[in-house]
Amino acid sequence: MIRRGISIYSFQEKYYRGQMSLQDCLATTAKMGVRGFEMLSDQMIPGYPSITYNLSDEFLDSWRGWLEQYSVEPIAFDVYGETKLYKNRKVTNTEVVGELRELLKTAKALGFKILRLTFHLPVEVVEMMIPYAEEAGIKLAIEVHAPHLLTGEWVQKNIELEQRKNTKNLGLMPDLGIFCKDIPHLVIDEALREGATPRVVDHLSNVYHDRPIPADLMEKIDALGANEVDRWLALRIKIGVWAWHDPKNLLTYMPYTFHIHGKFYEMNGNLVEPEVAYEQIMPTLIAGGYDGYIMSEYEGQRLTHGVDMGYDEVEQVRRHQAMLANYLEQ
Amino acid sequence: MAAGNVFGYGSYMICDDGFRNVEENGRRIGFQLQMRLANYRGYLLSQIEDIRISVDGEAIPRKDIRFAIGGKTYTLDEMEEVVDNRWELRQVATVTCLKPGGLKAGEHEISAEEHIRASYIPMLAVARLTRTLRLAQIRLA
Repeated sequence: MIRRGISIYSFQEKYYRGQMSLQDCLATTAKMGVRGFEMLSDQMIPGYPSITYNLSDEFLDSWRGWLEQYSVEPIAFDVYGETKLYKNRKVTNTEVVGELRELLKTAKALGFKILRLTFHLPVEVVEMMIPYAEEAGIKLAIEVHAPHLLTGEWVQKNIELEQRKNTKNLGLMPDLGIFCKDIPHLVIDEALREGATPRVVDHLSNVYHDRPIPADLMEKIDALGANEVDRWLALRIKIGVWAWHDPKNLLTYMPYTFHIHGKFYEMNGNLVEPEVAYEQIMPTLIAGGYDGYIMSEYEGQRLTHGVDMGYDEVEQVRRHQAMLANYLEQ
Repeated sequence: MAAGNVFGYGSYMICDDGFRNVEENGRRIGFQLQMRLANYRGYLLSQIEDIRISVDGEAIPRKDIRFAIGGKTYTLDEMEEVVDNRWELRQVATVTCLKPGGLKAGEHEISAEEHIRASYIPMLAVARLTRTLRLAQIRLA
């Protein structure tokens, strides 16, 4: 069964600006008729980031009160594991596992069922975490986020690990930003506001749309007279901030997929995300029998600071939820 | 290593309030401003690789910058090893720049940079902002 949930990461700018508290984020989730939610440890939990368990009893009391009051359910807890903790020294795998075990303890105390791990972690670290996750009854979800693709080496290594360990506590969490047909138009608009050259931006949009990205992209745009803003856009294309491959790939990896980040940059008034290919993704997930949450994960706010878009984060999430409900005929 | 701000929030870095001269034992030792994270999440202090401040085009040397948060004050070098204190997303940090005599009354152009080491991106997250702020009036005793 496909369930709709909300990552309260979506309300981050209102939180940042003090317009919404953590409690407000949970209340807003409930008000939209949604029960399952996701959040980041390092965004809205007092005392975090931390490499040791750092929850206060006072916070835990409030937390448990809110879960009951709003009837919301913690599903996934997004953590990092800081491999670049120090400027002049590498963090060992054992140290990263130490950090992650503390975050696992935090997740457990807060009642989450899934711990999100990101692609910068060595697969050896993921392997070392498996027994602790099994013991805690928490699933480790490997986030498949641009620049990585489902078809890439990072995913392959984790699937091999899951099979070798024969564990039920490891799987995939695709971020739907890996299915961006075009560079999000909000990114293009922002670049133009900041002084990008229209003909260079057009060229870069076409380069992304046509793929693959040429190795000499930077040289090519320099020849077109690129300025610094153009170069920054090109660099992000080159390192893969946005990614595309056929959403049909979801079918192949469905047996390993138990959670999904419903990434979106903008839901327009017609309930369409113009760049993330929901019109291909949703029928694929339904046909493939996906079982798990799709979490609304809005990320357009960071591209529109100070611009009046005529909507806010709450409205964007409402539209995304409405779109999901339409596909799911709920 | 490539550098750039992929995280947004750069426009919030320099706060409207709290730009003022700092006195110690009756002498002006510098000025301070209030800063926020140019990011969507908090960081441990060891991950704040650099804070750069210029006032009216003059760069403040790194050694003359003090960073205060959660009741503790650090030099930027000291912060490199601090993993038991953090800059939470909504916390406002006080950044003091040692500059004997402080600043003249009136408006000043402040440029700030935050260099943050996020583990999962292949670049340093560098945010820049320039703002003109009016020095808060302080009453001399």
